[in-house]
Amino acid sequence: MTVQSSSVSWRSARRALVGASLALLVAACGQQASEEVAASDAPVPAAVAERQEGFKALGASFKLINDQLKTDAPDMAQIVPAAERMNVLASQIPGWFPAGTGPDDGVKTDALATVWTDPDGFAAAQTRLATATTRLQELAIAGDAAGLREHVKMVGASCGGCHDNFRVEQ
Amino acid sequence: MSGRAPRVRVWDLPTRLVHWALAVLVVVAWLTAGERMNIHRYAGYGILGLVIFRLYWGVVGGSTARFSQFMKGPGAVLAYVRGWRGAPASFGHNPLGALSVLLLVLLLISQVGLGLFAIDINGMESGPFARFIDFETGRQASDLHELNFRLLQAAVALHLVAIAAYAVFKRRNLVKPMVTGQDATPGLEGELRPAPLWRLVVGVAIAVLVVVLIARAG
Repeated sequence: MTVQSSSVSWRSARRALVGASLALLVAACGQQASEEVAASDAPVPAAVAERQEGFKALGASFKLINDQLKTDAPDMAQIVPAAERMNVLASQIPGWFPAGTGPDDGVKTDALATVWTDPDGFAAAQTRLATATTRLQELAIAGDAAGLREHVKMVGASCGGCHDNFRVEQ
Repeated sequence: MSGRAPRVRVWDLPTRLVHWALAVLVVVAWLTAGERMNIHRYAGYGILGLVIFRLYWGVVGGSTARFSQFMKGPGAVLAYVRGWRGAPASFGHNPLGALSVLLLVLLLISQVGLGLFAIDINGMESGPFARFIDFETGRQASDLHELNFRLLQAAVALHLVAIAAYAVFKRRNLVKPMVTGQDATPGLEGELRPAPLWRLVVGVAIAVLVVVLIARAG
């Protein structure tokens, strides 16, 4: 009898363990899925779509520059237009966040409300990036690979500084 | 019955070193993720090398490290699970633990594989293969890298729970043998057939070479 009951209790314990592991898995996948569902539910305001495309283009251009700078002979013919593109996009950022497109307005966005509640801080972060990309473009036009390699750290930190304070944590 | 059971060698040194190095590097990679990306990258390269070596060692290494020695079919796993409480102590991995090894190795492979293509949101930090794909695909690799890590965490948690279960329900210390290589569990039957040193040298050379080639691709 004792053997019987202990094996039963062990079986239930095992079941609980397996159940808990499965629940963990499902929870991990479910979280991902619910985010996607929410994204497709609400229509995306044009301004949100525009800024998402803009930041993706910024990231893609910066990636191109960094990929080139990792090579022995960076191709300035590719870096110059990418740096110019980044500089143009960085200057457009203030127009990408009109009132009514924040998380408090029921918009599905990774932008934090601080973009609108701390406009001075956000403007300073944008200025920091725009200044960094202007210098990036200058160095690219000058063909200064060594200077670029050093300066991209500043540009990356400008991106990160804004992401830390004005975007949901990755 | 009196006195201590004789100690028998169970795990060879390379198997133990790989195990603990993986444990340390996975924690290092976890703590540095998104923060200290240089350290994170090197931790990832280290894990990659260890996994490559472990796969190699699983074919030609000491007998208890070999997949062919511990991977059992579903029937053997089920039989082991059914008779878990009364099952005699396994020499080396038991049929269920073998699945845990497989799961951990597979998750480590996918984790490192995704990391090679991952790129951070700033477009600044990236794995060595990220330059072969575009920014948005690299971002997806990053998202999957993070999701896969949750699975790896769950697998490690299960691994730790299993070790605790053997300690509580079967009074078996599985940690010490993985440290010392020797197991004093009474009634343990089996013999570790170690691999010759030259195979270790070859395995290390292969792992280092592959990692260097991959790291240089970036």
